[in-house]
Amino acid sequence: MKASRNNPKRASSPTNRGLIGISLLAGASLGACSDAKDQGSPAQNDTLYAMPAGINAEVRETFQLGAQRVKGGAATNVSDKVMWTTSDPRVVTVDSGGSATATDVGTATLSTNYDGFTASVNVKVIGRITSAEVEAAPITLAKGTSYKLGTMGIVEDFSKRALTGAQAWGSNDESVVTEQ
Amino acid sequence: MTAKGPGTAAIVLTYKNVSYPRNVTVADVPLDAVTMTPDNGTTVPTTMKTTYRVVGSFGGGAMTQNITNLFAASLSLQDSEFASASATAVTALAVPEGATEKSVTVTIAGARGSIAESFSEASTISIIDSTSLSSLAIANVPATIPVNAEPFTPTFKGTYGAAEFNTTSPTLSVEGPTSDDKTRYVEIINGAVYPRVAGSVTVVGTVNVAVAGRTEPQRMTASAKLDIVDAALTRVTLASAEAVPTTTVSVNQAIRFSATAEYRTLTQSVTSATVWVSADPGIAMVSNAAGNFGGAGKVTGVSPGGPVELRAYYRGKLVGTIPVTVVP
Repeated sequence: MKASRNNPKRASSPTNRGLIGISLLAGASLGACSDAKDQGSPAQNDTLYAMPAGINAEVRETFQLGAQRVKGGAATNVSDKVMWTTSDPRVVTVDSGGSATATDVGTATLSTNYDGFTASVNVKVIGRITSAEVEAAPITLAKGTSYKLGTMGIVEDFSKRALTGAQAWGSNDESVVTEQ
Repeated sequence: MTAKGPGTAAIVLTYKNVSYPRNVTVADVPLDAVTMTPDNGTTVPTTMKTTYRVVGSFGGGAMTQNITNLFAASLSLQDSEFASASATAVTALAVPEGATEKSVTVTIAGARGSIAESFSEASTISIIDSTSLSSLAIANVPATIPVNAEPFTPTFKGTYGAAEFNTTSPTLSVEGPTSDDKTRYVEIINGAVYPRVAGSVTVVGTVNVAVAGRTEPQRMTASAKLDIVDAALTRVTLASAEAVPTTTVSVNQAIRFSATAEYRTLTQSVTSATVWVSADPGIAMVSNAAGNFGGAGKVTGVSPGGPVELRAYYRGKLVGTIPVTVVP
C-alpha cells in the first residue's frame, strides 16, 4: 500500500477534533462518577469504565461488553459481575452476560452500574453491507503504471456506503498485475 | 495495483467471504508524451494550493491514462521559502518582503525507476499575496431546491488583483428570512448543503483576510439566494446517457445511464445517489463505485445475452428498470 498523498496538515485536523470529542466524553463520564457514594477518594483514581468506549455496528452484528473498576490506582475486570441495560431494545439488545446484538438502524446507549458507579457505551447501528463492488470494467492499464480501484458497499436496504472492515485483495497473475 | 504486464489478470476483492473479481488488461505500450495541467491555474495566492494533473499518451496515441502518481513536483532551494511541494501539489507560502508577487519555477518529474523517469517539465507559477483579495464570488447554488433533495456544494472564486483563484476555504453559513434560528433550514456537512425546511434563505461564504497594519482581519463574504420549497418527489426517471440513446452494449464495451428525480416543478440529477443493480452480472455488470473506469450507472457487457434487467434504487426503493442486451 502506498503512503497517503493527502496534505498532512489537512488530514490531521479532523482527527484531532475527533480526539477532543472523545476526551470530552470521558470528562462527562467522570462527571457522572462524582455522584457516587464513595465521595472520599479522588475521582480520577476511582471510577468504572465500560469496554469498549463506543461501538459502530452493522445490523445483526454481535459484540461483547465489559467493565473495569478502577479503585486506588488498581484496575479490576468486573465484566462478569455487572448487568447491562439498553436504552432502546429495537436498536440493540443485550443479555445478562454482556453479549449485545445490533437489531436495527439507529443509536442506543448500553449502561451498567457497579459499586455505585455508572458506565455506558454509545452504540450506532448502520445497515448491513450485503455486497461489495469494484468499479466497472473494462479496465486497461499501460505497463509500468499503477492504479487503485474504486470500491463501494451496497447496503441491504439498497443504499450504498464506503466499505468498512476487512478487505483482502489478490491477483491471479502477479506477473501481469500485482494486487491492489 | 501495479501493471507489470502484458496480458490479462483477475484482481479479486474478498469481502465478508465473498470474492469480487475484475479483469485487468495490461497493454505493453510505450509512454510517448505527457501533459501536465495545474488544476487551479498558475497564479496562486499565499496559503492556497494548486495540484498538477499528469496524463500520459501511450503507444502513439493508442491510449491515454492519468499517471499523476508517477510524478513529483519540486522547487529550487532558493524558492523553498516562498512555496512548498508535496507529491504533485504546490502550496504558496509567501511573497518577498515589500513585494506583491513572486515567480517560482516548479519542476514536475517522473519518479526514478518508473516508465515516466525520462519525463520532466518546468512551469512557472506566480505567487500573489492573499491579502490582495478584493472580492469573493459564489457559484453552484441552485435558485430553488425541494426539501430533502440531494445536497449541493457551493464553490467560491476569489479575485486577487487581476487574478482569480478557486478557493474552498470560506466558512459556509445560511441566513434565514428573519433573525430566527438560522440553522434550521439546512444542514451543512463537509461543505455540502442539505435542504431540510422550506424557506427563502441566503447561502453565505465568509473568509477573513489579514490586512497589513491592522490586527483585526477583514471579513469578506459572498452570498446567493436559495428557495427551499415543499415539493413531493413525484418519480425518478431513468434514461440512456449516451449521445445516441441505446440499451444495447457489446462485450467489453460500456454504456451509461442517468437517473433524474422529478418534483412537482423541479428536477434534480440523482445518478450517483441511485444504487444500480444488474439482475445478471454474468451478462452485464453495472458500476456504483467511482474511479477512472467506473462511475454510477455505467453498464459493461460481459457475455452475449439478455435482455438483463438493470434495476435502479433511489433511497431504498426500486424506481425503475431498463432491459439491457449484450451483443458479441
